[in-house]
Amino acid sequence: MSEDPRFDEALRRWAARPARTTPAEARERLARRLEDERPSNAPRWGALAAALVVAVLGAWWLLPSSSPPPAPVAATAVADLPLLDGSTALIYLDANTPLYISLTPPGGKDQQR
Amino acid sequence: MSEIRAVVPDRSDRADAGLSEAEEVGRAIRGDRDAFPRLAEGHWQRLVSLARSVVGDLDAEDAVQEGLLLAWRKLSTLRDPGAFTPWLTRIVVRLCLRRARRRGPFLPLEEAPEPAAPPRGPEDLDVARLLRQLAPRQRAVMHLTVVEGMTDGEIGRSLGIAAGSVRAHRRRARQRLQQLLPEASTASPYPSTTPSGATS
Repeated sequence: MSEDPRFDEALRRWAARPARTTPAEARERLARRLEDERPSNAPRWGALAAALVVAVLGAWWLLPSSSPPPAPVAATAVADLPLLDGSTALIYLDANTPLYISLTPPGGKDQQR
Repeated sequence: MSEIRAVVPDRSDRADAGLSEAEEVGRAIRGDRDAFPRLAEGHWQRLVSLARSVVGDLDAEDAVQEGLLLAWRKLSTLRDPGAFTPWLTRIVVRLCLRRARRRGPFLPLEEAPEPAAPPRGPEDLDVARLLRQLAPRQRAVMHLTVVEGMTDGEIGRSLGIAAGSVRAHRRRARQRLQQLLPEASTASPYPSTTPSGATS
């Protein structure tokens, strides 16, 4: 398609009109707008803080607890044993294996069964 | 009649201008808040001229301001500071195209210009009215071709289209202008036929 010199010339002339806002004014206006903008390459502190909180919560939820492991069924703390009488406690090593523990001071008459 | 040259600076000294601009761009990327407005100042007139062709006089400067802010926010994505000019052009022209598409291909009747006297020469052609009869992308192609003297490849990269598409848009624009230019002498403010390819 052949060019139309009339239109091309008119377009160049029309395009050469100066802008209403001068370049210096545009620079100042843009500088004021950028004062309200976050720098394009600055770290996003809010996002970092949120990511840190999520990471901490996730670690707390996923990692194993630091509390001591539950005692095996057979190893009940002596202080928690139900006493059959004043000095004898009964625990079950398993469903079929009772263990009687006599809680007498050394030299006492009762013995462990 | 004196010939009007293109708006852009002489391309032969682009190498020197590009080197200093690349340094300025580097400073802007590293966080110098004064560097980007200085860069924008150097491109303001050229970008407003381009925006006028695509969105018209009323919206041009606002569109360029918005484009510059968008470019500032995306500055960290610019990998080659030496490619700042085409990168910035691409951002602004695409924003202008989106604005122009939202506005529609024709002015509302109440915004149509007064009929012009029959044109006798280039200075008498109602360029704004002629551009409005073209699709937004055709306007951008014509401006970048005629005013900025870009190659088809450069225009394609600015618009995100292939060089072949650039040529097709320019051909359709020329065809439409050929239909319109005899009408400009009759000073009719409204087109009598729908433009071809006006939906791109």
